[in-house]
Amino acid sequence: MIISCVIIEDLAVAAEYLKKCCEKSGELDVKGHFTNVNDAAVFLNDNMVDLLFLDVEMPGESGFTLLDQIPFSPKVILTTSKEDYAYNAFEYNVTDFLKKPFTYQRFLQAVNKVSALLEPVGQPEGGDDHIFIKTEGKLVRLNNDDLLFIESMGDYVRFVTNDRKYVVHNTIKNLEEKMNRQAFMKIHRSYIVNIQKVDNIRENGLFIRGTELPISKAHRAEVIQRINII
Amino acid sequence: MNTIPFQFDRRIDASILYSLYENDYLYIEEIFTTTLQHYDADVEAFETHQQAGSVEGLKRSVHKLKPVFGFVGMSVMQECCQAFEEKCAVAADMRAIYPDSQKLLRLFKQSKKIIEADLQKLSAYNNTTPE
Repeated sequence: MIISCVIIEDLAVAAEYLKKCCEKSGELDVKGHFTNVNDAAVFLNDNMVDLLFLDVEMPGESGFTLLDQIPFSPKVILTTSKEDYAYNAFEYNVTDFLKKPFTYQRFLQAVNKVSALLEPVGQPEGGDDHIFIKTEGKLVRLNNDDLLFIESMGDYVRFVTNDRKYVVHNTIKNLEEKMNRQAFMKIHRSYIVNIQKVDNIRENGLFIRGTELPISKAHRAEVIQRINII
Repeated sequence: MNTIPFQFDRRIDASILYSLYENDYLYIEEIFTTTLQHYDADVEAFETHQQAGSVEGLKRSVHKLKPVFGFVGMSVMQECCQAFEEKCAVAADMRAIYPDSQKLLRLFKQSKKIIEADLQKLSAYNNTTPE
Protein backbone atom coordinates (compact mmCIF):
# COMPACT_ATOMS: atom_id res chain seq x y z
CA MET A 1 0.00 0.00 0.00
CA ILE A 2 1.39 3.39 -1.00
CA ILE A 3 0.61 6.19 1.44
CA SER A 4 0.26 9.64 -0.07
CA CYS A 5 1.72 12.35 2.12
CA VAL A 6 2.66 15.98 2.40
CA ILE A 7 5.56 17.47 4.36
CA ILE A 8 4.93 20.73 6.20
CA GLU A 9 8.29 21.78 7.56
CA ASP A 10 10.17 25.09 7.48
CA LEU A 11 13.55 23.66 8.40
CA ALA A 12 15.26 22.81 5.12
CA VAL A 13 17.57 20.13 6.47
CA ALA A 14 14.70 18.38 8.26
CA ALA A 15 12.52 18.46 5.14
CA GLU A 16 15.33 17.05 3.03
CA TYR A 17 15.93 14.26 5.53
CA LEU A 18 12.24 13.47 5.70
CA LYS A 19 11.92 13.31 1.92
CA LYS A 20 14.84 10.92 1.80
CA CYS A 21 13.28 8.72 4.49
CA CYS A 22 10.00 8.64 2.53
CA GLU A 23 11.83 7.72 -0.64
CA LYS A 24 13.88 5.02 1.09
CA SER A 25 10.80 3.39 2.62
CA GLY A 26 9.18 2.77 -0.76
CA GLU A 27 5.82 3.12 1.02
CA LEU A 28 5.29 6.86 0.77
CA ASP A 29 4.47 9.12 -2.12
CA VAL A 30 5.37 12.72 -1.24
CA LYS A 31 2.84 14.96 -2.97
CA GLY A 32 4.36 18.20 -1.78
CA HIS A 33 6.54 20.08 0.66
CA PHE A 34 5.40 23.36 2.20
CA THR A 35 7.23 25.68 4.55
CA ASN A 36 4.16 27.35 6.03
CA VAL A 37 0.58 26.58 7.00
CA ASN A 38 -1.08 28.85 4.44
CA ASP A 39 0.54 27.26 1.39
CA ALA A 40 -0.19 23.80 2.75
CA ALA A 41 -3.84 24.71 3.38
CA VAL A 42 -4.28 25.93 -0.20
CA PHE A 43 -2.90 22.65 -1.54
CA LEU A 44 -4.84 20.45 0.87
CA ASN A 45 -8.12 22.13 0.10
CA ASP A 46 -7.83 20.78 -3.44
CA ASN A 47 -5.88 17.59 -2.85
CA MET A 48 -6.53 14.80 -0.40
CA VAL A 49 -3.63 12.84 1.10
CA ASP A 50 -3.41 10.02 3.64
CA LEU A 51 -0.74 11.51 5.87
CA LEU A 52 0.77 14.82 6.95
CA PHE A 53 4.27 15.16 8.38
CA LEU A 54 3.61 18.30 10.32
CA ASP A 55 6.02 20.62 12.08
CA VAL A 56 4.30 22.46 14.88
CA GLU A 57 6.35 25.60 15.24
CA MET A 58 6.63 27.44 11.97
CA PRO A 59 6.65 31.08 10.94
CA GLY A 60 3.11 32.44 11.07
CA GLU A 61 0.47 30.02 12.23
CA SER A 62 1.11 26.87 14.27
CA GLY A 63 0.95 23.53 12.51
CA PHE A 64 -2.16 22.62 14.49
CA THR A 65 -4.17 25.44 12.88
CA LEU A 66 -3.72 23.70 9.54
CA LEU A 67 -5.75 20.77 10.83
CA ASP A 68 -8.69 23.12 11.40
CA GLN A 69 -8.44 24.50 7.89
CA ILE A 70 -8.64 21.36 5.80
CA PRO A 71 -11.81 19.54 4.81
CA PHE A 72 -10.69 15.99 5.62
CA SER A 73 -8.89 14.16 8.40
CA PRO A 74 -5.54 12.78 7.30
CA LYS A 75 -3.30 10.87 9.66
CA VAL A 76 -0.76 13.15 11.27
CA ILE A 77 2.82 12.56 12.36
CA LEU A 78 4.23 15.55 14.22
CA THR A 79 7.83 16.46 13.58
CA THR A 80 8.93 18.65 16.41
CA SER A 81 11.83 19.60 18.64
CA LYS A 82 9.60 19.79 21.69
CA GLU A 83 7.66 17.10 23.44
CA ASP A 84 5.09 19.27 25.14
CA TYR A 85 2.29 19.10 22.62
CA ALA A 86 0.60 16.09 24.16
CA TYR A 87 -2.69 17.86 24.83
CA ASN A 88 -3.05 19.14 21.28
CA ALA A 89 -1.77 15.88 19.86
CA PHE A 90 -4.47 14.00 21.71
CA GLU A 91 -7.16 16.47 20.63
CA TYR A 92 -6.14 16.28 16.97
CA ASN A 93 -5.74 12.51 16.98
CA VAL A 94 -2.07 12.62 16.06
CA THR A 95 -0.64 9.18 15.27
CA ASP A 96 2.95 9.76 16.39
CA PHE A 97 5.66 12.30 17.26
CA LEU A 98 9.07 12.39 15.67
CA LYS A 99 11.50 14.42 17.69
CA LYS A 100 14.08 15.99 15.38
CA PRO A 101 16.51 14.57 14.49
CA PHE A 102 15.01 11.09 14.37
CA THR A 103 16.52 7.90 12.99
CA TYR A 104 15.20 6.09 9.96
CA GLN A 105 14.11 3.19 12.20
CA ARG A 106 12.07 5.55 14.34
CA PHE A 107 10.57 7.06 11.19
CA LEU A 108 9.58 3.59 9.99
CA GLN A 109 7.91 2.83 13.31
CA ALA A 110 5.75 5.92 12.94
CA VAL A 111 4.89 5.12 9.33
CA ASN A 112 4.00 1.54 10.27
CA LYS A 113 1.53 2.87 12.84
CA VAL A 114 -0.12 4.91 10.11
CA SER A 115 -0.15 1.94 7.71
CA ALA A 116 -1.89 -0.17 10.33
CA LEU A 117 -4.55 2.50 10.78
CA LEU A 118 -5.11 2.92 7.07
CA GLU A 119 -5.46 -0.77 6.34
CA PRO A 120 -9.07 -1.86 6.81
CA VAL A 121 -8.01 -4.74 9.07
CA GLY A 122 -9.76 -6.16 12.08
CA GLN A 123 -13.22 -6.03 10.52
CA PRO A 124 -15.00 -9.24 9.71
CA GLU A 125 -15.51 -10.20 6.09
CA GLY A 126 -17.72 -7.49 4.67
CA GLY A 127 -17.21 -5.37 7.81
CA ASP A 128 -19.52 -4.91 10.80
CA ASP A 129 -23.12 -4.75 9.73
CA HIS A 130 -24.31 -2.61 12.62
CA ILE A 131 -23.31 -0.09 15.26
CA PHE A 132 -24.62 0.81 18.69
CA ILE A 133 -25.25 4.42 19.61
CA LYS A 134 -25.82 5.81 23.08
CA THR A 135 -29.03 7.83 23.13
CA GLU A 136 -31.66 8.66 25.73
CA GLY A 137 -29.83 6.62 28.36
CA LYS A 138 -29.67 3.39 26.38
CA LEU A 139 -27.64 1.73 23.67
CA VAL A 140 -29.59 1.51 20.43
CA ARG A 141 -28.62 -0.81 17.60
CA LEU A 142 -28.52 0.71 14.12
CA ASN A 143 -28.09 -1.64 11.20
CA ASN A 144 -25.85 -0.26 8.48
CA ASP A 145 -28.61 -0.96 6.02
CA ASP A 146 -31.02 1.34 7.88
CA LEU A 147 -28.61 4.22 8.24
CA LEU A 148 -28.73 6.83 5.46
CA PHE A 149 -26.16 9.38 6.58
CA ILE A 150 -24.56 11.09 9.57
CA GLU A 151 -24.51 14.85 9.88
CA SER A 152 -22.25 16.99 12.08
CA MET A 153 -23.87 19.41 14.54
CA GLY A 154 -20.82 20.87 16.28
CA ASP A 155 -20.10 18.65 19.26
CA TYR A 156 -23.01 16.40 18.29
CA VAL A 157 -23.90 14.31 15.28
CA ARG A 158 -27.25 13.33 13.86
CA PHE A 159 -27.73 9.74 12.66
CA VAL A 160 -30.43 9.74 10.00
CA THR A 161 -32.20 6.46 9.23
CA ASN A 162 -35.19 5.70 7.01
CA ASP A 163 -37.65 6.60 9.72
CA ARG A 164 -35.79 8.30 12.60
CA LYS A 165 -33.12 10.75 13.56
CA TYR A 166 -30.85 10.29 16.59
CA VAL A 167 -28.71 13.08 18.02
CA VAL A 168 -25.61 11.80 19.81
CA HIS A 169 -22.64 13.48 21.46
CA ASN A 170 -19.82 12.66 19.03
CA THR A 171 -17.88 14.10 16.09
CA ILE A 172 -17.60 13.21 12.43
CA LYS A 173 -13.82 13.03 12.86
CA ASN A 174 -14.18 10.35 15.50
CA LEU A 175 -16.86 8.42 13.62
CA GLU A 176 -14.82 8.42 10.44
CA GLU A 177 -12.37 6.11 12.21
CA LYS A 178 -15.04 3.84 13.63
CA MET A 179 -17.60 3.34 10.88
CA ASN A 180 -17.38 0.38 8.52
CA ARG A 181 -15.34 1.78 5.65
CA GLN A 182 -16.85 -0.53 3.10
CA ALA A 183 -20.33 0.80 3.74
CA PHE A 184 -19.70 4.41 4.72
CA MET A 185 -17.59 7.26 3.47
CA LYS A 186 -16.96 10.84 4.38
CA ILE A 187 -18.04 13.22 1.62
CA HIS A 188 -17.58 16.50 3.46
CA ARG A 189 -16.21 17.56 6.83
CA SER A 190 -19.82 17.51 8.10
CA TYR A 191 -21.19 14.38 6.43
CA ILE A 192 -20.62 10.63 6.31
CA VAL A 193 -22.95 8.75 4.01
CA ASN A 194 -24.01 5.17 3.44
CA ILE A 195 -22.65 4.64 -0.05
CA GLN A 196 -25.41 2.10 -0.84
CA LYS A 197 -28.10 4.72 -0.21
CA VAL A 198 -26.92 7.33 -2.70
CA ASP A 199 -29.61 7.96 -5.32
CA ASN A 200 -27.76 10.37 -7.56
CA ILE A 201 -24.66 12.52 -7.68
CA ARG A 202 -24.30 15.97 -9.13
CA GLU A 203 -21.39 18.39 -9.48
CA ASN A 204 -21.09 19.41 -5.83
CA GLY A 205 -23.57 17.22 -4.03
CA LEU A 206 -25.42 13.95 -3.83
CA PHE A 207 -29.00 12.95 -2.99
CA ILE A 208 -30.18 10.37 -0.49
CA ARG A 209 -33.94 9.89 -0.23
CA GLY A 210 -34.55 13.40 -1.51
CA THR A 211 -32.04 15.10 0.78
CA GLU A 212 -29.19 16.91 -0.93
CA LEU A 213 -25.82 16.63 0.83
CA PRO A 214 -22.68 18.55 -0.18
CA ILE A 215 -19.55 16.85 -1.50
CA SER A 216 -16.37 18.81 -0.82
CA LYS A 217 -13.79 19.23 -3.56
CA ALA A 218 -11.32 17.17 -1.57
CA HIS A 219 -13.69 14.18 -1.41
CA ARG A 220 -15.19 14.31 -4.88
CA ALA A 221 -12.62 12.07 -6.58
CA GLU A 222 -12.95 9.43 -3.86
CA VAL A 223 -16.75 9.47 -4.11
CA ILE A 224 -16.63 8.95 -7.87
CA GLN A 225 -14.12 6.15 -7.36
CA ARG A 226 -16.38 4.38 -4.88
CA ILE A 227 -19.58 4.31 -6.92
CA ASN A 228 -20.14 1.74 -9.60
CA ILE A 229 -20.20 3.68 -12.88
CA ILE A 230 -20.91 1.50 -15.93
CA MET B 1 34.20 6.18 -3.57
CA ASN B 2 36.48 5.91 -0.54
CA THR B 3 35.97 2.93 1.75
CA ILE B 4 38.04 4.13 4.75
CA PRO B 5 35.77 5.65 7.44
CA PHE B 6 35.78 9.44 7.42
CA GLN B 7 37.10 11.11 10.58
CA PHE B 8 34.76 13.87 11.64
CA ASP B 9 35.83 16.77 13.84
CA ARG B 10 35.84 15.70 17.50
CA ARG B 11 32.97 18.13 18.15
CA ILE B 12 30.78 16.27 15.70
CA ASP B 13 29.41 13.04 17.11
CA ALA B 14 30.00 10.45 14.40
CA SER B 15 27.76 7.94 16.18
CA ILE B 16 24.80 10.31 15.79
CA LEU B 17 25.56 10.73 12.12
CA TYR B 18 25.79 6.97 11.77
CA SER B 19 22.43 6.50 13.49
CA LEU B 20 20.84 8.96 11.07
CA TYR B 21 22.61 8.31 7.78
CA GLU B 22 24.61 5.15 8.37
CA ASN B 23 27.85 5.66 6.50
CA ASP B 24 26.32 7.32 3.48
CA TYR B 25 28.91 10.07 3.23
CA LEU B 26 27.44 11.53 0.05
CA TYR B 27 24.19 11.98 1.88
CA ILE B 28 25.97 13.52 4.88
CA GLU B 29 27.65 15.92 2.46
CA GLU B 30 24.19 16.90 1.15
CA ILE B 31 22.92 17.42 4.69
CA PHE B 32 25.90 19.60 5.65
CA THR B 33 25.49 21.60 2.44
CA THR B 34 21.78 22.22 3.05
CA THR B 35 22.53 23.16 6.65
CA LEU B 36 25.06 25.79 5.61
CA GLN B 37 22.78 27.19 2.92
CA HIS B 38 20.32 28.30 5.58
CA TYR B 39 22.62 28.71 8.55
CA ASP B 40 23.56 32.38 8.17
CA ALA B 41 19.95 33.47 7.78
CA ASP B 42 18.96 31.60 10.93
CA VAL B 43 21.85 33.01 12.95
CA GLU B 44 21.13 36.51 11.61
CA ALA B 45 17.54 36.16 12.81
CA PHE B 46 18.92 35.31 16.26
CA GLU B 47 21.17 38.39 16.20
CA THR B 48 18.34 40.63 15.03
CA HIS B 49 16.15 39.54 17.93
CA GLN B 50 19.05 40.02 20.33
CA GLN B 51 19.58 43.57 19.10
CA ALA B 52 15.86 44.28 19.24
CA GLY B 53 15.73 42.99 22.83
CA SER B 54 13.08 40.41 21.94
CA VAL B 55 13.28 37.46 24.34
CA GLU B 56 10.39 35.74 22.58
CA GLY B 57 12.10 36.22 19.20
CA LEU B 58 15.35 34.77 20.57
CA LYS B 59 13.48 31.80 21.93
CA ARG B 60 11.89 31.14 18.52
CA SER B 61 15.23 31.52 16.73
CA VAL B 62 17.07 29.17 19.01
CA HIS B 63 14.22 26.70 18.83
CA LYS B 64 14.61 26.64 15.06
CA LEU B 65 18.41 26.27 15.21
CA LYS B 66 18.34 23.50 17.82
CA PRO B 67 17.44 20.57 15.53
CA VAL B 68 19.84 21.84 12.87
CA PHE B 69 22.70 20.87 15.19
CA GLY B 70 21.09 17.50 15.75
CA PHE B 71 21.11 16.77 12.02
CA VAL B 72 24.87 17.49 11.79
CA GLY B 73 25.73 15.49 14.90
CA MET B 74 26.54 18.44 17.16
CA SER B 75 24.66 17.21 20.17
CA VAL B 76 26.45 19.52 22.61
CA MET B 77 25.30 22.53 20.61
CA GLN B 78 21.81 21.09 20.59
CA GLU B 79 21.94 20.92 24.38
CA CYS B 80 23.25 24.50 24.60
CA CYS B 81 20.28 25.62 22.49
CA GLN B 82 17.89 23.69 24.71
CA ALA B 83 19.36 25.26 27.85
CA PHE B 84 19.12 28.74 26.36
CA GLU B 85 15.55 28.13 25.21
CA GLU B 86 14.65 27.20 28.78
CA LYS B 87 16.31 30.36 30.10
CA CYS B 88 14.33 32.44 27.60
CA ALA B 89 11.12 30.86 28.84
CA VAL B 90 11.65 32.21 32.34
CA ALA B 91 13.67 35.38 31.63
CA ALA B 92 12.05 38.59 32.83
CA ASP B 93 13.79 40.65 30.18
CA MET B 94 16.73 40.70 27.78
CA ARG B 95 19.22 41.71 30.48
CA ALA B 96 18.71 38.35 32.17
CA ILE B 97 19.83 36.39 29.12
CA TYR B 98 22.06 38.81 27.23
CA PRO B 99 25.41 37.30 28.37
CA ASP B 100 24.19 33.81 27.47
CA SER B 101 22.93 35.00 24.11
CA GLN B 102 26.37 36.47 23.39
CA LYS B 103 28.05 33.19 24.30
CA LEU B 104 25.64 31.25 22.15
CA LEU B 105 26.19 33.59 19.24
CA ARG B 106 29.93 32.94 19.47
CA LEU B 107 29.26 29.21 19.55
CA PHE B 108 27.03 29.49 16.48
CA LYS B 109 29.86 31.17 14.62
CA GLN B 110 32.43 28.59 15.75
CA SER B 111 30.05 25.78 14.83
CA LYS B 112 29.67 27.14 11.33
CA LYS B 113 33.45 26.97 10.88
CA ILE B 114 33.48 23.37 12.10
CA ILE B 115 30.69 22.34 9.73
CA GLU B 116 32.33 24.19 6.83
CA ALA B 117 35.71 22.60 7.47
CA ASP B 118 34.25 19.10 7.71
CA LEU B 119 32.13 19.66 4.63
CA GLN B 120 35.22 20.62 2.69
CA LYS B 121 37.11 17.54 3.87
CA LEU B 122 34.09 15.32 3.31
CA SER B 123 33.64 16.60 -0.19
CA ALA B 124 37.28 15.80 -0.98
CA TYR B 125 36.88 12.39 0.66
CA ASN B 126 33.79 11.62 -1.40
CA ASN B 127 35.61 12.52 -4.57
CA THR B 128 38.57 10.29 -3.75
CA THR B 129 38.73 7.04 -5.63
CA PRO B 130 40.61 4.30 -3.75
CA GLU B 131 43.72 2.84 -5.33
